[in-house]
Amino acid sequence: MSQLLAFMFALVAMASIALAMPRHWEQVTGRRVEKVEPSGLLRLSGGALLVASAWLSVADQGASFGALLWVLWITLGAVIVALVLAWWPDRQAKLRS
Amino acid sequence: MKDSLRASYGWLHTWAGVVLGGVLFAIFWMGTLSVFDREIDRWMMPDTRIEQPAALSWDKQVVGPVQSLLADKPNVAQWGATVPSERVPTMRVFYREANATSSITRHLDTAKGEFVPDQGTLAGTGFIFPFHFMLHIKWERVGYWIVGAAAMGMLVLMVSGVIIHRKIFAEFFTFRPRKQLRRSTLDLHNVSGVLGLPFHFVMALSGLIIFIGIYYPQAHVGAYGASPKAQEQYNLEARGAYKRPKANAPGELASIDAMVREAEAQWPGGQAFFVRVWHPGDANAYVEVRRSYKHDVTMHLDRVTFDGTTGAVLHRFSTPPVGGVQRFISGIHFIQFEHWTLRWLYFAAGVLGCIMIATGMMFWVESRRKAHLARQLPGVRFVEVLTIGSVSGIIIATLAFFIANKLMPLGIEGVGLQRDGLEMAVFYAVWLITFGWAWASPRWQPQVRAIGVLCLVAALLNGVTTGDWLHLAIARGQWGVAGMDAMLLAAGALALGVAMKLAARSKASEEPSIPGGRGIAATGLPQTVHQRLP
Repeated sequence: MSQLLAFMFALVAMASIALAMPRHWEQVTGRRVEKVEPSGLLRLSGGALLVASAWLSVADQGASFGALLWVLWITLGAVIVALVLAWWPDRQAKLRS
Repeated sequence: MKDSLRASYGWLHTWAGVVLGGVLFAIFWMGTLSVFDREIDRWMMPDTRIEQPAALSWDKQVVGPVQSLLADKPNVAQWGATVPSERVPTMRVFYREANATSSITRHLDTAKGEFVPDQGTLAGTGFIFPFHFMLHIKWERVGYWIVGAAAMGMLVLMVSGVIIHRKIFAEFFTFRPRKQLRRSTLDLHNVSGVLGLPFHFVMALSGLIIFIGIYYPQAHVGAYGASPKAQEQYNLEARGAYKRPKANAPGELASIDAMVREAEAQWPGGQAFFVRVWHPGDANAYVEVRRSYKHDVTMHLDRVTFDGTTGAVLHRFSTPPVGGVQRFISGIHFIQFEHWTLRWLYFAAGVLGCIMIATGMMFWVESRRKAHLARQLPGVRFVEVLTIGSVSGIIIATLAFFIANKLMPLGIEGVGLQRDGLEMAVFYAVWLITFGWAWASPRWQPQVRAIGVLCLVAALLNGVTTGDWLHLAIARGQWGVAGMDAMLLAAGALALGVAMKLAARSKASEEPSIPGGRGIAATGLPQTVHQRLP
C-alpha cells in the first residue's frame, strides 16, 4: 500500500514537472503561452512530492530497498507521463469529433 | 568551443554506438530475461513444477539420494545443494568431479526423495543468464572481456549521450510518435536513454564491479603478495573460503541438520540456504553452511565451516565492510532477494534499455539512408542488416530456443550433442539465419511478424505438451509458468499488431523495400551529427 502511494506521488510529481514546461502546458490546455504561469508552484510541488515519495519508500522498505524502489518508481512515472503526453492531442481530437 | 566539444562527443557517441550496439543489445536482452531466469527454468523444465515443500531434513531427505547419485563416482571433489524456495521448489543439487571443468546440476524432489529426470536443458539459469555476462565464449575468458569492454563502452555512451543532447531538459518528456520516423526514433532513443539513465548507469557500473576478480585478477597482490598461498589467504579473509587438503582416508559424514541448526543459532533471524560438502567420503571432509540473503540487497558471504566427520566448527565468517560494499553493489545487479515489485520494475527498466539501444541503431540508419543511397555507399545497408539481426534476430532465436525445448523429447541426441547442446545449436543456427534473412530482405516487418507468430506458438506448445494451460497454471499457483505464458501471449499480440502497422505503412509508402525511407528533412536535429556523415 505504501509502495502504491510512493508510486502515485512519483507519477504526479513527474506530471507536474512536465506541466511546468510551456510545451506540455500548451499540449494539455490547448493555450499558447510564453511562460507557464504557475510554473514555480508546479515545480515546487513536484519536488515536494518526490521527497514525500522517497520518505514513504524508505520508511516502508528500509534504506536499500527503499532507494531502489524510489528511483525505479520515478523512472516508471516519467515514462508513463511521456507516453500519455505523446498521445494526448489525439485524444483531444477524438473527443471533439 | 562548445560546439566543437559537442561535435567530438557526437562522433564518439555515433561510432561507439554503431560498433557496440549489437553486442549491447544482446547483453541487455539476455539480462532483461535473466530477471526471470528461474521462471524460465520452470517453463522449460516441466518436471520441476512441483509444490514447495514445507519442511526439510538434510539427513533424511537429501544425503541419502545424493549418496546414491554419487555412488559410482569416486572422484567427486564437492557437492552442494540449495534449499527449495518460492521460485525454485526443487532442491538444486550440484556435484563436481576432481578433474572436471564444470559441475553438474540435478533437481531433487525432496517430498519424494528422488531426483527429477534430467530435463536436458540449460534453460534460463544455465543458458540465458551466462549469455548475459560471458556470451558463452569460454576460451581464454574472451566472453567476459567483450562484455566488460561493452559495459565500459556503455558508460562512455551514456556520458557522451548526455553531452550531445541539446535539449535534455526541454525534451525530458518529449516523444512525438506521429512525426516522421527519423524524428520519432530519435525522440524515443532520447526519452528512454534519459529516463532510464540512473538505472542503466548503475547496471553498467555494477556489472563491471561484480567481475573485479576477472578484470583485476591481481587486485589483492598489493596487500597479500603474489604467491598462491597469498591468494588462499585473501580468499579466506575476504571471502571466508576455508580450505584444507584431503586426508585420503575414509570418513563418515556427521549430521548436516545439526550443523545447520548450530549455524542458524549464530545468525539472529538468519536461515541457511546453501550447504556444500568438500571432499565427500574423506576423513578430512568439511561442510560449508551459507546464510541466506533473500531479505537483503547485499549478497553477503556469511558462512560457518564445520568438520565433516565430527561436526565441530572449523571457521566462522561474516562479510567484512569493504567486501560488503562490493557484495552490496553486486546485489543491486543480481537481485537475488525476494521482492516481486522490484523484480518487475527491473524487468521494465531492462526493456527500456533494449528500446534505447535498438532505436539508437535505427536512428543511425534512418539519418543516413538518403545520403548513402544518393552516394551509393554500402554503410546503411550493412548497419541495417546488423541492426535487424541483432534486435529482432536475437528475439527470434530466443523464441526458437523455447520452442525447441518444447518439441524435442527427453534424452534425444544428435550431431554429437546432448539435448541441451541441441537447444543451444537451434538458438545459434536461427540467429544466423535471421542475419541472412535480413541481408536478403532488409525489412523489419517480416521478422516482427515472425516474433509474433513464434510467441504464440511457444505458449501454445507449453499447453499442449505439459497440460499447464495459462488458466490451469494460475489455478494451481504455478506463477512462474503462468507469467511466462502470459508474457508470450502479450508480446505475441504486440508484435503482430506492430507488424500489421508496418505492413500498412510500407503499402502506403512508394518504396516498399525501404520502410520509413521518407524524407530526411532537417527537424532541428543536432546538425553536427549530419555534417559528419561519411
